Amino acid sequence: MPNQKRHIAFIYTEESIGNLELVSEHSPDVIIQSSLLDDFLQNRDTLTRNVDHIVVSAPMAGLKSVIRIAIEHDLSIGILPLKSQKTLSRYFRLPDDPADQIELALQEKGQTRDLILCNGELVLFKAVIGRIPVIDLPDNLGPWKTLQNVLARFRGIRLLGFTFVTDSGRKVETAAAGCMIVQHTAGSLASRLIANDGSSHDGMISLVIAAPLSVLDYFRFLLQVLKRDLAPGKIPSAIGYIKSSRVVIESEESLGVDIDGEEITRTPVECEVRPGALRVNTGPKADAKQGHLGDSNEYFNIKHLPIDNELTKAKKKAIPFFPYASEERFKDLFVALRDDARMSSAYVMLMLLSTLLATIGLYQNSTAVVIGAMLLAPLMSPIISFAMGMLRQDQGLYRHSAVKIMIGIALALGSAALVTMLFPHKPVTNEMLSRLSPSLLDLGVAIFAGIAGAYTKSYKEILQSLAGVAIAVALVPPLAVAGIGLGRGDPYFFGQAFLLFSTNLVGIIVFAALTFWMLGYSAAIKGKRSMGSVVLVLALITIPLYFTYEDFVEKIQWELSWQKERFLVNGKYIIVRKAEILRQRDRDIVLMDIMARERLSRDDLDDFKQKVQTNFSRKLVIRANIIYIL
Amino acid sequence: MHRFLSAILVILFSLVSGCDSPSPVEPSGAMIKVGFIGPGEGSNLTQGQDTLKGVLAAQAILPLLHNGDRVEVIAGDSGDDPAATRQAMQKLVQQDGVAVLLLGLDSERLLQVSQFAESLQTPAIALIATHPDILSESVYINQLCFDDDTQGTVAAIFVRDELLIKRAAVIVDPGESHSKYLQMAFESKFSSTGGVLTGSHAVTEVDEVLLRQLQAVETELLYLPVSAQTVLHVRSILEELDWSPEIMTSDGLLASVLGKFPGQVGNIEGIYATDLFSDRGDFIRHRHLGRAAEASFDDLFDSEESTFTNLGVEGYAIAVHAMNQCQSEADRQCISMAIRSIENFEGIMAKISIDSSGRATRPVYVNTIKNGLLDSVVKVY
Repeated sequence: MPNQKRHIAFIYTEESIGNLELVSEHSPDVIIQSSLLDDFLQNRDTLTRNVDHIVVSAPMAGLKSVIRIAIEHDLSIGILPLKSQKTLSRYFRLPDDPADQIELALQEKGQTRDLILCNGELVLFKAVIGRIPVIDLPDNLGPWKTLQNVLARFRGIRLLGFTFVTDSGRKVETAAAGCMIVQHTAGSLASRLIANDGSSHDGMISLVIAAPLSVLDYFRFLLQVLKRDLAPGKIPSAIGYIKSSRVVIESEESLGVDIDGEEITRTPVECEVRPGALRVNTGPKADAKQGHLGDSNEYFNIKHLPIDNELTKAKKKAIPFFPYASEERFKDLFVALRDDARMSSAYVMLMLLSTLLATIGLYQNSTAVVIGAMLLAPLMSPIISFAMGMLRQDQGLYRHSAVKIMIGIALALGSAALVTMLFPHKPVTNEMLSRLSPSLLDLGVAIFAGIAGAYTKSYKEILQSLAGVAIAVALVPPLAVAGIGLGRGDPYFFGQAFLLFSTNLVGIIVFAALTFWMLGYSAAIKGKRSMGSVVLVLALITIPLYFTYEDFVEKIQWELSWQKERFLVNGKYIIVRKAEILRQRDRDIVLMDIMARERLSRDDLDDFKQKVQTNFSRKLVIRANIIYIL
Repeated sequence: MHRFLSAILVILFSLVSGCDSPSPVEPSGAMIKVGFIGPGEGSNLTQGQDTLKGVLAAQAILPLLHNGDRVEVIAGDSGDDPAATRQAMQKLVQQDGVAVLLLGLDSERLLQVSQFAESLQTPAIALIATHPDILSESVYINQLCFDDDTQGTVAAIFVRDELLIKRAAVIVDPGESHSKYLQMAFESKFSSTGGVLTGSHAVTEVDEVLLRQLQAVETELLYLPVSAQTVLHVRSILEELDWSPEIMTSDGLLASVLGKFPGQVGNIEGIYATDLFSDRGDFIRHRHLGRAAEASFDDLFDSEESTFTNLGVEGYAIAVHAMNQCQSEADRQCISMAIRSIENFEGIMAKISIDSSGRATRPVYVNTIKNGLLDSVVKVY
């Protein structure tokens, strides 16, 4: 069959006039009709008559005009990029070599591609509305340049109200920093975020929505980007994704719409797809992949976008440092916390058993039994629920858990007091004494236990660690000691042990709440009164703890210093080998191992006691174990 | 609600912060004088100057009595002989009308003028002197330091029971009562605890031959209750002999070397010394007076604090404490009684008690000299 010559219109500008000769030389089998862009636009009907294909080499605006004409006249199009049009080359996968570019541009049949129009304006690559973090950056940008872009765009970032209505009529109301229509799915971070879903011939628009709910959220997202840690099919937490053949975008305030690098129109904006409207010669790898997230159906992944009452908070002036969430986001966790806050007979039974075990263990002076009681103790869970309830101002949650905690306390105090009253002998053991000197260090333990408690509760996979946390902070033994104090009718005993328990309780609540807050569990709308009250209680509790801490430090200093202190009593030299101070309500008990070479008389010991007493303001009881060195 | 909580916090804070701060004393416009006497010249010049500096540092932190009377410190030069000391004391008491005398004299000087001091019928605190005879039949003189009996005994027991040393020799300055008393106390306790004395010699005998002899009889420790100069001399001979027995000395050694021979501090490194204070150690708890005096001293003077400056601080503070106990701060009988009733007075580093005979009870530190500091080994109550 004889080879019929094709008629090709070559449209150029002054900038691309150099291509004119190359195109003519390269194509002996075609008839080239060359026109300057302006002439072509003025005489479009004449100059497209009898033309089979258009090759264009022009700046973006001119290029788009030519594309429109090509579509109007159902002509295919080849593109010869200008040297500055690197993005164009990358998106259409055009070859680098000019000869190859010309060869590709002159080919007969272009690939069919969808065409997106936003408010009637042609979108070749992308349309950006508002501020988006980094997702419109090229995928191959280095980490340092990405970081620079990230920081530059972070300044003043805030969320605005947006409404997206899709072709099916589904309306999504949310808050976002901005959004972006991704026309060409390959070659940008945006396309990686949606796992290169969609294609330029599926008849759909891919809309990526950026909604970092907090500064931490923003930087977590950036970290993922920098680490290139974007799992296929898993959309990062700050991102939402909608796919539809038509999207109407409205924003709370009118925003400019940047189409292919130029602000052309403003919101509200209606974007639609003209499926297969464009036939263009592209490189072999361009857009080979077919979509997989919903294919040609509408698709929504908006679980990370703020909804309902979160919107109220999201639309504030600046994004908060820590994230927040509605209950729906963490449904399983809240179900568990509500269960923990609910009163049950098992709780009562466990509370009684653990207190009785602890009380007997304390009387036995058995650390092992006391630890067993700590393991049984069910107090930690309602305390963690209370912390969450307080953080979120969830009255149901914190009231239920408060009642449960108070019942637990009452049960523990009552049962320990009862056991004490029934016991014929009431020895004071070291296990009890060690719980009568709460200090700031105990608050430190409670703080870390609170953090650990909230953390373990937040992640199912480490939930079993909660028992360890309960042991670390030991809630029931101090309560049991306080109960023993009640049974003995000793207010000091009760007061000191209850102070230790209160320290643990308040420390855990405050720091569990803070941890939940930092982990993003704070409510979208919340008050600060409850949190303020507990922080105030924490501050008040710190005052007695501060003084007991000073006592504690002094005690440690004494115990250490006595290793170097000696006594000369009536010419006899006494060496203190070991000393331990036990603080009681009205006196200090000093347990000492002393060494002497000469026999110590009662008078010597009286003088020794007097000398030791000079170091103490409180009344002292000395129990000395004398070791004679012969 | 918020206002109520804020009010509670403010009240609590006020209570907590106010607990430890006594109400300020308003100056009454009257003045009471405290006299200091110490060497302003001669071989003990540094000792006198340092002690006076301590007194002045303490005066800066305790300028007023509880009744608002301002305390003025008048310093007198004890000169280089007993007559000059007596004259200076007389002037302070009779012309200046001081209520208390602070005596920055060593045992030897004070023993020479103690009867005269008694005759002035003015309460006096011996800041440095440790000889027990200072207090014999005394009514007005009181000691701030532990006495030589205690010091010598502690040194001997420490050597026997802590260093486990059996053979020791003593070098004594026969012209110094303080040195002789320490020799006696040490030898007595050392022998009674089973120690063997390998020699007891006067400083005038010290030479290479003597030390070779002591080495030959397997002496493990030299007890040197002598002047800093003699200690340095002995140490230099020992180095020549390449012999390094343990050395134990008495109070004020480091302070004296720092004052008189600052370039030779390295030569006393590792020596044990009984002292009233210590610079380092786990059990050193700086009390309120120590902290305040340290700050005051740093404000007033460029030099370093020493045992002598600390004694000056404590002596002045005890004098003020005693005057505060009396209705009339000029009532010398009352002040004297108040000094002799002091119990557990918070000194710079330890509590001090003074009994009815004027004898002070306070802990003895046994230190080693390390990097120019007194590094505590034990503290003996």
